[in-house]
Amino acid sequence: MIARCFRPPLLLCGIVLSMATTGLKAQDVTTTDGQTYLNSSIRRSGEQFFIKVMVPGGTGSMEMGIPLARIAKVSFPEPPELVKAKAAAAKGYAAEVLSLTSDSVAKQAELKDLPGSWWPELARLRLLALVSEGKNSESAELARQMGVVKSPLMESLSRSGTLFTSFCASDLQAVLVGAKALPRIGGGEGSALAQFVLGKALLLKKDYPGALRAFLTIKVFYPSVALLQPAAMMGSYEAYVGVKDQKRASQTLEDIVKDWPDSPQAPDASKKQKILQAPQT
Amino acid sequence: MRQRPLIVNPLSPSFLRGVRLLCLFLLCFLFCETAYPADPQSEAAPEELFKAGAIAFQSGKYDEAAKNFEAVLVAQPTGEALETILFTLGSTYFNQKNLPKAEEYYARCIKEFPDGKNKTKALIAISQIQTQTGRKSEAEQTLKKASEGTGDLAVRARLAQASMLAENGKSSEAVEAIRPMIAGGIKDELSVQAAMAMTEILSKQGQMEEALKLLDQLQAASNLIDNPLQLDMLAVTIGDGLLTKGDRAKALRMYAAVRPKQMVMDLQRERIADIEKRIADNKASLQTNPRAFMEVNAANAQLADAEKKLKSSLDQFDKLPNTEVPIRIRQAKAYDELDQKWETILIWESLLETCKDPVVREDALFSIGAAYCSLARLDDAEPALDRYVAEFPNGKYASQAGYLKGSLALEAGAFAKAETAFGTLVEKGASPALVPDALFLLANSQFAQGADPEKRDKYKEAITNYKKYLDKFADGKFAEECTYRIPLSSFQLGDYGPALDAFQEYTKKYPQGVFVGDAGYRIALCYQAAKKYDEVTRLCDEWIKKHPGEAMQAEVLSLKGDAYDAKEMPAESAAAYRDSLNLADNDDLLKYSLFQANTEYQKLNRWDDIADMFSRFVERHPKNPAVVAAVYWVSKAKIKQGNPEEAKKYLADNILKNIDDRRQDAVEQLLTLLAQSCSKRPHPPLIRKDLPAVLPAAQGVAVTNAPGTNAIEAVQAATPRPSPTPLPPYDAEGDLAKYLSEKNAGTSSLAKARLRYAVGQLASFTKKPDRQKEIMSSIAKETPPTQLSAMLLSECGQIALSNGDNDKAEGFFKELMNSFPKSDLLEYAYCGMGQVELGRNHPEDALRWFGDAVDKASADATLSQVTYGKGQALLAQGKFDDAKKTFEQVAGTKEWRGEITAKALLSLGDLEEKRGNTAASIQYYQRVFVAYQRYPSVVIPAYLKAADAFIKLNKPEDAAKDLRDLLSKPRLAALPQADAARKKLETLPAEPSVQSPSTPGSSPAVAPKP
Repeated sequence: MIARCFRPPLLLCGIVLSMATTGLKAQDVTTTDGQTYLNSSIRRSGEQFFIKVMVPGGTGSMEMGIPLARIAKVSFPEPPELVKAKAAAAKGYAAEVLSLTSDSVAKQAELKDLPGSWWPELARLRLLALVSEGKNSESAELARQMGVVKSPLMESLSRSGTLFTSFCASDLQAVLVGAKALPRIGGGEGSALAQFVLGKALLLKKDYPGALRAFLTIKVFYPSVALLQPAAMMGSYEAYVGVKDQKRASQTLEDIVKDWPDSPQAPDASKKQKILQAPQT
Repeated sequence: MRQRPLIVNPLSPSFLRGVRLLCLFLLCFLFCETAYPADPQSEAAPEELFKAGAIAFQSGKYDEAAKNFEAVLVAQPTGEALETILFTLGSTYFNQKNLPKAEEYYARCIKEFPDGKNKTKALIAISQIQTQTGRKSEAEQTLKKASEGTGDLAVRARLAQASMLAENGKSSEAVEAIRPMIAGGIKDELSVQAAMAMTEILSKQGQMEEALKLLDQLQAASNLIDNPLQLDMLAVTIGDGLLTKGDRAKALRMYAAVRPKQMVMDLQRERIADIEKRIADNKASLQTNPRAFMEVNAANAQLADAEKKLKSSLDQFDKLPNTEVPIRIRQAKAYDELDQKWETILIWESLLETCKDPVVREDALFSIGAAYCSLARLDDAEPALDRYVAEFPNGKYASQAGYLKGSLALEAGAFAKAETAFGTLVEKGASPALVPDALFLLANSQFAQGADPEKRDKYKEAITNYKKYLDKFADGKFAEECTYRIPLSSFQLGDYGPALDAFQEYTKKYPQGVFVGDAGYRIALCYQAAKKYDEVTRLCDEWIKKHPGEAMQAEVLSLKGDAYDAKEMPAESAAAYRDSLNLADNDDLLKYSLFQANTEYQKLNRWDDIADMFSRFVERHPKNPAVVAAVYWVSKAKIKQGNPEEAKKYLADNILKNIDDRRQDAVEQLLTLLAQSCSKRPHPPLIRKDLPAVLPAAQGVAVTNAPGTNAIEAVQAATPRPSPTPLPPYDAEGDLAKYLSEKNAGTSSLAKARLRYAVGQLASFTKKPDRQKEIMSSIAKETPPTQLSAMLLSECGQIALSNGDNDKAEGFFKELMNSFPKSDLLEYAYCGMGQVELGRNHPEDALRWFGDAVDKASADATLSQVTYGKGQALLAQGKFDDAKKTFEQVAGTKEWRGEITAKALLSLGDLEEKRGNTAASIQYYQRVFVAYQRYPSVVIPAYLKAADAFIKLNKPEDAAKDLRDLLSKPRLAALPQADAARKKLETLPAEPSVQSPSTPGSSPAVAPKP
């Protein structure tokens, strides 16, 4: 009798365990109470998600609504373009990152705040690539959308990325205040991005040493944020020119061309380098 | 600091806890589902036995557990139940430390169930037993078998195998064992462990590149890492390895990955809090779904285990010393060695923000100051060093800080500051090693100040300190230089007597000294000052003999030329200057000797030499700024020699050399010169007085020049003088085309544009401004900016601007900035961009460009325009006070007096009008048309605005009076802008009183329309 009483929960437990060892399949949905719906398709309507599951025996399907708060995780398969985008990002190849993430970021936007969604990762790379390409307004817009995702990284990226809104509106003071509100060191990609916007604002304000510090902070403390490196180096170049340090300005151009040949900044750096090297009358 | 083991022990307590939990579940499940499905009556005994065994196992009573489990075995279970009980017995004996028994049961489990679900676990356990009993190679093989399975345990087995291989010195095999585990990327705890293990093995092998890549990947996946310290330590290990190899740049990348301790701890706390929340949420979910308690309990058990692990690493990490400081110091030093001073500063500043250790702070403060010194940033270095001195007045770097301050000031030309800094060091007694240098540099800073005419006495102070140095440190490293600088100071003071004596003393004491050449030259200069020119030429010749080929020879020759010039010996003087010219290696001396020789040759009327000298100069120094002048002089000499055609040809040849090179600014200058030469009809060649008297062939009369008469007189005497035939109109453009046309200039866009520029210049010289404007506009219209030279870009930008085409103007100015960043014409681009933005009504941007014109391009020629533009931008922003100040500055600067002054006054009027001060505005407008009638484009608007202001003040008569005044001036009245005045005047009262009897009823003030 005792054994019979325990049978159903034990069976459930067995299922959970077997899933844990074999791994969840595409778009398996797990709720906060441990319930798992396999091979389901998912759609959103406001804060409610609708999961379509096959009824046992495969004779039909049924759809049920689950509030966002009750979804623990959706095991989306990792999009292949994300793998490629990560590789391109590591080389600072912003154009390729933008091309790879364009569709997925748009299409998956609906599921951006769903636990297990790949959207935040795709959006993160896209944001940095947009910044690298100097697409300030688009960066600000994407950063605003990222603010919906509740994670420290997304929140910090969103805060720094939306500084471009003030930057585009020439409200440099707001950029300065906003950027300095994020930790300068040890704050991850959000801080690196904030330093980048700060550097750009300070360049416009002709505070070249300040701009230089901001751009070099990215180099010194955030070397792994590859997509920002060439753009930050180009900022450093301009700041070096501002402080009349031609030697370091020239060296920075050389480093961009050498270390980030596929970056959007490389052709410009190469052109500037040739001009600097050309004899003038 | 101790590191965690490389690979997680597969039988570590936490792992075993997991296994135990799994066993319990499986056992319960199997016993319920498989072992006794048919006979419920017989369920009780084995189940009770198993439960008792499980309870004993959990309480650590392994003897009792073994007894119960053995009893279950006696009941002869079959299938999965048998496999489970065999594995459970193995685990029980393993914990009991009865290793042979444990190995026996594990082996039986594997033998009887070769594909059983506990196979991998059993193999791992056996390998552990084999390791503990010293059978390492067996253990290695067993782990290999275990790793061939699937699931987490097989992965862990592979990790353990790799660890064992690495420990046994088989690093390459270990790497190959791990590599497949991370092939799919780092996405879970196991791949993290694998990547860490591999990174460590690779770094030990010296394969830094691959280790670096893996570490990058690990850093990107830092949210998966339970023990951040392990990652940091890996980064440091690899960084140190790279630094030892001298690969500073890569080492720096590694060190940068190490995060501040507080940050790591905060991250860890966040993760713990997240797990706690998930546990609480799971528990809360039971309220709505109580039947899920088994799953929730299982999930929470796993979460609690994870939480415990995180807390344990957090505690461990908290107790360890902070790694941040030593790493940052390593970074700072590496950046410093790479001469990346700004980066060094950032690192030291980050240490100042976080570290309270006075030793580190002292290093940081001084290093920041020193780095700023290396960057020659006086304004930053000084406060940094001051801060150091304030915080550590007696610190270990106090003397160096003072010395650095002085040196920096000296280098930056802040000699008074340098004097203070070195003076303080000398007075207060710097560290003994620094005193001699400080004293010498103190004297040098005084010497340098002496160049200021108001501080001539500083030379005397310098002499005192140089002497002090010689008294105290007669054998010091600067003794010779002090001995030389003493007479040099006297020389600069004009005390040639003492200077001469002391220079001679120096040359005696240091016949092979560093400054002996300079001293010899200055000795000659002393004689020159004393007007002893014979002595000077003698000394110069001696010097040249003594120091052949020395750098100063050109200076000495030039001095010799000066001496001959003073002696009024132009031939010798010119020869000395020519020699100097051949040896000179700096632009100043080149220019001086070149033009001095030119003067001497002119005295001698030696135009051949002038042509020859300048021609050679152009050949030897084609890029010298004096080339344009040289070409001019060659062409002038050729004209003087009666060869104007040759002169123009010479100019054209020099132009054609570089006509396709947009970087040669001199081309436009030469084009202007050629246009100027072609603008006037050439004079007929002068007939030299000593010419053989041959009459023109047309007259057919040969006249022999009688002694004492010249040819002209002879001709005049022989022939009647005809009335001069009027010359045909002179075709200047045709003349220019003889030398420069599309035929020889080529058809490139730039050549065509330059050709047109020459024609435009010609139009200007022949007073055809409309033609000039038309030609220049055609260049701006048809030539792409990327093809134009700096001068043409500047000109075309101005034309586009005057046509109101801001976008086009921007194209020219931006191209000038981008392609000619060092051009002298850059100021025109910045100023032009300011005007473009003004035209677009973007005053803020305009101000920025005008600011750049001053800051970046050191505006000089355009400074008045720039200042006026700033005023306009400020006015557009409604900043009346600032705008007024700026316009007043323009109006008040004598050097700028002209059209810009008129414009500034007009703008001041506009400003007052905007302020509602109409009466004041009239005063400014009137000042314009009273004093600046020469500038109709400003004067007419001034009249009109004054009239409007009077109308506003309800004084139409005064308005009409001003307008009549305007129209009474034929030059102004003839201009199209005057139409507006006529129209306005029609609406105003007619002039009262005096009517001309001859033209009754007409308006005398209105000039006839042209």
